[in-house]
Formats: sequence, C-alpha cells, structure tokens
Amino acid sequence: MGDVRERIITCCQSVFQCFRDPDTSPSPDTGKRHIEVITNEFAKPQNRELPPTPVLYVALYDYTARTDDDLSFNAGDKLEPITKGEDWWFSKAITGISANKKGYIPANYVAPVESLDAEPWYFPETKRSDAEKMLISQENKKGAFLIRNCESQPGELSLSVRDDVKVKHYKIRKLDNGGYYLSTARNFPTLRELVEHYSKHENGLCVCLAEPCKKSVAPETHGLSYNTVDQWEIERSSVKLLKQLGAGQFGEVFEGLWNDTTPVAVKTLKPGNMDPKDFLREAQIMKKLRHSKLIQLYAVCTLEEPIYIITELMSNGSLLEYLQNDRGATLRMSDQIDMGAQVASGMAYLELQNYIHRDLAARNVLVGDNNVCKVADFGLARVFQMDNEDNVYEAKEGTKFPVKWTAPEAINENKFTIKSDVWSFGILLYEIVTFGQTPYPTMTNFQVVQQLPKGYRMSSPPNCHKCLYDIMLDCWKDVPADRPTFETLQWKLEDFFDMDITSYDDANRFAK
Amino acid sequence: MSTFEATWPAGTECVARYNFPGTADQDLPMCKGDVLTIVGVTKDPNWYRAKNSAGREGTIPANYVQKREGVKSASKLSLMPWFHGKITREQAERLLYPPETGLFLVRESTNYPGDYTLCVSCDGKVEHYRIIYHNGKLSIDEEEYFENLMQLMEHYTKDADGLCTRLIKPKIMEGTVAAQDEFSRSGWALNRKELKLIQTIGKGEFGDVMVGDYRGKKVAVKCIKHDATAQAFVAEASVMTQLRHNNLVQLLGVIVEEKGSLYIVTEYMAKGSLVDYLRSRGRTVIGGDRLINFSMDVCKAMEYLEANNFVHRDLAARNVLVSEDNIAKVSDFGLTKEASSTQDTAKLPVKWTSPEALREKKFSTKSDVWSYGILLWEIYSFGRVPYPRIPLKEVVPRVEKGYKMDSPDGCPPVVYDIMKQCWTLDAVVRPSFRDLREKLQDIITNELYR
Repeated sequence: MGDVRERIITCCQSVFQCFRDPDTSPSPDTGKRHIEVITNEFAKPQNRELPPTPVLYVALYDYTARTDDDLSFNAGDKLEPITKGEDWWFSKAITGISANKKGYIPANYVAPVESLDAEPWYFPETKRSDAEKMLISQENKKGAFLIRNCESQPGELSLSVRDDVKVKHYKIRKLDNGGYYLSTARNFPTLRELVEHYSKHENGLCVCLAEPCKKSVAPETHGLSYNTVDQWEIERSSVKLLKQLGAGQFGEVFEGLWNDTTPVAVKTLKPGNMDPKDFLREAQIMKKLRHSKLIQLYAVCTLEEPIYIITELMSNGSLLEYLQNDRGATLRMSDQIDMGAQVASGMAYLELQNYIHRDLAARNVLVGDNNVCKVADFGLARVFQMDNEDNVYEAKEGTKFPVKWTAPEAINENKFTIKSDVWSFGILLYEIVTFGQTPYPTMTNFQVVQQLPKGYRMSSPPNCHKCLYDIMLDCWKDVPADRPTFETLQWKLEDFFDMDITSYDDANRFAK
Repeated sequence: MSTFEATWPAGTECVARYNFPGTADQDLPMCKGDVLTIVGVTKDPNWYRAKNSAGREGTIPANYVQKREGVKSASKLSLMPWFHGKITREQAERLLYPPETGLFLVRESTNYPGDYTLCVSCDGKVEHYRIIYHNGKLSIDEEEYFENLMQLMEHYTKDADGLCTRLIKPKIMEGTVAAQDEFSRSGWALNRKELKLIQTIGKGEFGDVMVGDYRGKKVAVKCIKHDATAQAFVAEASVMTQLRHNNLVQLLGVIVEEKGSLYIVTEYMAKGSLVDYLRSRGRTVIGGDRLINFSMDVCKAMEYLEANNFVHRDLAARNVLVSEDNIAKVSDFGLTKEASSTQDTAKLPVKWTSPEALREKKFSTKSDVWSYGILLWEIYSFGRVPYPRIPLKEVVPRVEKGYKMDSPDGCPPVVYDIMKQCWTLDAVVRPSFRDLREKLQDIITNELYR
C-alpha cells in the first residue's frame, strides 16, 4: 500500500513538472523583450563616453617608506600610479595602511591587479636552480609550486613543484590559439585555470599543487629612492656609519643607515688615492650595470674626503670571511659549486657588457641570506690603477697589487681583459674549495711570478673534485684567448652534478 | 723500361721516390718525399707536368714518382699480419708447410689461454715457443722483456738469441694485408726521421695529439703507442687516405714504426677544436656571420662524404677543427665507415647519435644529418653540452617520444628550423646534406643569420 502511494506521488510530481513548464516558459521571453525596449529607448539619447577606468596595481611585498616622499604599503594593498618613472612611480594608495595618501613606490614591488605578475605563484625571473632552493627551504611543504620563465627559451614557461625532498620541473606548452597545457590531454585558456585544475587533480604531476612558493625575500629596489636614481651625489649627513665590517683593498667597509631608514653598506676610500673626477666617471658606468649577482651601487659622496660609496648591504659580509668562518661546518660541496656558479653568472653579465672587473677574488664577493653571492668592487681597480701606472707591480707581500690572483699578462704587461678576470676566477674557485685559504700557500709573490711563465700551476687542493680542478686549469691556460668564457663557466658549474663523464657509451646498452 | 698502365689525370697526387735536381730549364726539381700534384701530360708519355707544394710548376720523370692512392680494404689492414688469433698447434704446423727455415707466425696459446705462442719453421720441423706475460710485459726466455708483440718480433728478427733460428719471413694471415706495406705502396708512408715532435696539444682517449714539424711544415700528429689500440687507428688512417676536401682535415701521411707506434700526420689547425673555440671566445668575439659560416663549412664537408658514400658516425663540435683563417674542418674519422658497412661499433656518442642508429645500428647519411642538427645546436649555444641536465640514459627514451631541445639563446629561427628538420624521427624524411647546404646558402645570401 505504501509503495503504491509513493509511485502515485512520483507520477503526480512528474505530471506537475510537465504542467508547470508551459506556464513559466512565456514569462522570460516577455520579460526580456520588455527590458530590451526600455534599454534601447534610454541608451539612444545618452550617447556619452565613459571615463577610462584607472589601472590599479597590487603590492607584491611590504615596503616601508624611506623618505618623506615615499609611500608605505603592505603586500596585497592596491595602488594607483599617477606618474611613472623608470624605477619609481608617484602613486596614490587605494587600500591599506596608506589609503588615500600619495608618494613614491618602487616599481618592482607592484604588479597590475589581475595580471600574471600579481599571481603569488608567478616568479618570472627565478632560475631553475634558485627555484629548487626556494621550494626545498623550510618555509615550503610538499606541493609547493611556482611558475617561472625558462632559462634557455625566453617566452616559454616552466612549472616547478616540490615533492617531498625533490623538485620536479614541467614544461608549460603554449597552443597557437593562446592556451596552455602540460599534456595534450588537457588544455587551459589561462595559466590560472591550469593552476586551479592541477590544484585539485594530479593528472600525471608528482603531486597536487598546494600552496604557492613563499616569496620570502623582497627584491632590492633600484636605487635608494626616486631622486637618487639620477642624482649620484647625496648628502654625507644622510649617511650614518654604524659598525665596521672590514677593511678592503681600497679602504674600510661599514654597515650604515641611510636617512635613518635604510640599511646600506658604506665603503670609505683611503684619502689621496684617486681623483674624484676619475671616480665619478667610473661610477657613471658602474651604476648602469644591473644584475642580480652584482652588488647594486646606490650613491656616492665625493665632495669631501674620504669618498663614500653607498651600496646594498649583504648580511654575511665577504665570501672570504664567510668561507673562513664556516670551514665546512655547514657548507657542502653543492653549496660551494653553487656559489661559484653565482659569481660566474655575475661575471658573465659583465663579459657581455664588455666590462672588466680587474680585482676578482673572494674578498670582493659579498654573501647575503641563503648563500646569495654578489660580485662587488668591479671597476674600482681601474680608478686606482690610473694613479699607480708607474708602479703597477711590486713583488712584495702585502702590497696593493694582488699578485696571486692576477693573470701573468696582467702582471707583466699590464694587459687587463675579461680573460685576466677568468684567471682570477680560477683562483677564486680555489679559495671556495679550500674555505678561504690563500692560494699558492707555500710560495711568495715573487716565486709565483717567476714560476707561472714556466708552466707551473697550483696542484689540486685536497678533497677537490677532478672536474672542478679541470675547470681551474682551464681558467689558468697560458694563452688568454683560450680560457673559457664566463658564460661557459656558468653553465659548467650550474650543471656540475649533471655532467656526463664521457660523451661515449656502450652501444649495446641502447640497442633493441 | 716498363710501360705505365694509364695516364695520370690532372689533380693526381704523387710522392717523389728519388731526388731529381732537374736536367733542363723546364724541369721541376724535387727531393725524395716531396708531394706533387699532376697538372697535365706532355708530348712524351714518360714525363708529366706537375706542381709542388710551393706552387712551382715544371716537368717531372714519371719513373721518379709514385702515385698516391686511397688505401682501401681497411678491414684487412693489420699491423701484425703474422698474428693468426686462436688456432691449434696442428693448424699452425699446417700453415708453416711446406717447411721454410725462418717462416713464422704467432697464435693464441690453447694450453695457456691469454698467452701467445710463437711458431717457427726450422730445419724441416716447427718449434713452438710460449710467450709469457708478466708484469705487463712479454718474454720468451724470461730474461728479456718487451712492451708489446711487435717489439718482441723485431728483436728476434734481428737475432735468433736462443731460438732455433732468427725470424725471417712472416706467414701472413689469409685475407690480411700488412699495413706498413700498404701505406708504402699507396704513397702515404712518411719518413720518421723527418718528423720532429714538439709539444702535446691534446690528450685523446687512446693517445696524445702533438704539434710537430715535418720537413719544415707545421703539422699535427696523433701518436698511438700500443699495438692493441694502434690497430684501430690504422682503419682511421686508411679512411683518411680516400678523402680530400677543403673542409676535411687533410691527412699528410702515416708512419708505422717497427716497435708498434703509429703516427697519423695531418695538417695543423691553429685554433683547435670548434667546441673549445666556442667555449673560449664566446658571444663577444664570435658574431652571427662566423657561426653560420662554421655551419656551412661542416655542411660542405658532410655533403662531400655523402656524395662519396661515407658515414662519419661521430659528427660533433669536438671533432671539428678551426684553422688560422677560421675555416672549420671535420676530423676524427675513427668511427667512419663506408655507407654499405654494417660493422659494429663498441662505443657511440649517445647524445649525438640518431635513434635508429642507437637502437638498430642503422647508420647512414641520414643518421649523420641527425648529428649535424646536434652540432648546429652546439654551435649556436657556444659549445654547451647537448640535452643539458638530462642524464645520458634518459636522452633516448625522451627523444623517441618526440622531445627536441629548445632553441639556444640568440639563435635565428631559420637556423632552429633546420635543427628540428635534422631531428625528424623518420630518417627518410630528414633533409640530405645537399638540401641543408642549399638552405644555409639561402640564409647566408639573405643575411638571415643576424
């Protein structure tokens, strides 16, 4: 009896639905027609253009104002640029701690709202090896991911995903009609949709995408503020010297504070060693050189002695000190190779710019957090060199000339080229492998100068991988032109642990 | 006077057998060992018009020179034609019949596997002497030791020294030709006394490459010291005697020493290997025009090999050399075979070898085209190792699934297109080297390499 009732009820519902459909169907049509008529009538007489919608930007990182003209904001705040310079924009804050205020913001801290650059997982400038380091760090967990530009092919993208303790890389391919895919089975109109899909389904990835990789470190701004980008000279009084970090080849280095807001490094140059005009001319060139592995020159003070050089501050000081303090306690072979690769990367940029360092050594490389290395003091040697032209070489210990780092043709003929920098890089690799030991430990400068032209080369340091020693020997080739480029050195070190031992292999291993 | 078989065509290379000071004004003086090129015939069939290496022309007597010919039958050449491999004592005795005092051969010992046995005919019977291997050296009497078999044979050729007779005449293994004799007969043997070795410029897998001086001319010399590996290079040298092209490294001659050393003497290429050149000069020194011209030089060399039915099998930037005036030339013919050859190869350059060659041993001009595509990638990436970060064992599976390397930074799209065509999985569809040369010529003519 109950069953029969249920059946009757189900039938009634079906009938009811059928019955309702005809009643409801005419209504929407009538409604639409009515609305359209109204819209058309109102639209025609108006005929008025709408004002353009302002382009809003979203902050990617926190920024604390460094000057009164700056604007502070936090990641996620929305801002509207009013005037755009190359590196600094005069903007108005729409939301956040500075809402409705105006001031200067660093351009590389923001991205257009809803743009690819605004996505927390988009890391366009990150290299493959850096992506691996970031994803493996403690802040991230399994499934952490990012999307970056391919190193070898500008315009192409790669997805890097953490799986337990490894990072996997997947090529993101583009369709001719503008879509994206990882495998041909699934296409997506936008990257965001691709990310959303693989956040729910593995579909061949090593793991579902989870949280985006943490953007832990804000990038360096270009320049201290908007008005030091074009004005090299700043007021000496705006710089406070705090703690001495070291004494270098040309002067002392201090931790400092600019404008009571911004940590900087201040190099004070020994008085009487150069003409300020020469230095300013060189600084003009140095300031144009921009690369993530080169120390950024912020500003100078040259109106009084000693001359100040203001640069970005690197938390761990010089590579030489860093290596000597560590002595193998935490640094492993892979870290050492990576630091060498970073230096080579910075030098490869200088090579392309036809710029010579002239004093490449571990003492002139600075180290920040996470073993980030940056080449420093590029070009300074030339400014000093000019004053010492009559006294280029002194075969004594402790003189200005770093004999043991200097290529023979530079010592004997004063011929500095990018290839003499390559020679110095070979010595720097020795310093890295030996945790900061002085090269040619049993020889005086004079003995070194005597022996090199006879073909003598330092033997391999203890515990040094043969392939790394071979790279050193390549750097110390007698004919400068035969030494490798920094571009070659960079990829050899970056690929160090993936290199084939030989190009040949047993044919039978591959035969069917 | 003997009658010469045929007239020598213009361009034929000859080697002077004797000194000829010349007896008339129109004569071309020559010294024994000079290499001359025939320019044409004269009215007298016994005299030819020829040119020497300095470019001077004159007449030469035909009976004073030996025509240079390519050494064929590479597989038959042997530095040790008296070595018969693994044969029994009885077989050896039959081979040394009819008896002739001093007739000898060497075989692998059946009683002591791994050792050799010297078999010598003497006074109507065959004596068998065990050759003992001890501490890396060979000996019969355990008093005198030798580095290799050839040195041992040379010693007992000079003096019996305890044997029943000194070694007089080798019993040549059937089907084998003595390499020394063949190179001499073909005009490629050089005089060791005229070769000065100056300096080591490279270390190959089997021997050093040295710069040297041969009769006042700077040369490159591949020196192979041990008989086991020297044998492999005999084949390479014989291939080189058959090849002549401005973009192939030119063989100048071969020296086979009694003691077992082999010297392959070639023209000297001042700027070394292309891969080292690219890695050391880089983008700031080498412009796009140089890169495309290197590519064209190699292509022309390969077109020549293609037309003459040779397969290189080891085309890579490390095997291309650069001359003082920046001409690229293909070298290293150690794996080169005639196109019809199905001969096995022990070691292959995996990242440069086409899938069908690796998997099925199907070597052909088209597998060389694949390698050429990889070489182009090497050129435009300034010497980078191909398939960066992909382990050797993973390259083939990836490639067979359609993976192709990305274009190198700064590589013109038209050049990258050529690379991809070279990497077509279906060998038949790949372009020929002649096709490739035409494509490259278009790029050069229209300056698309910038």
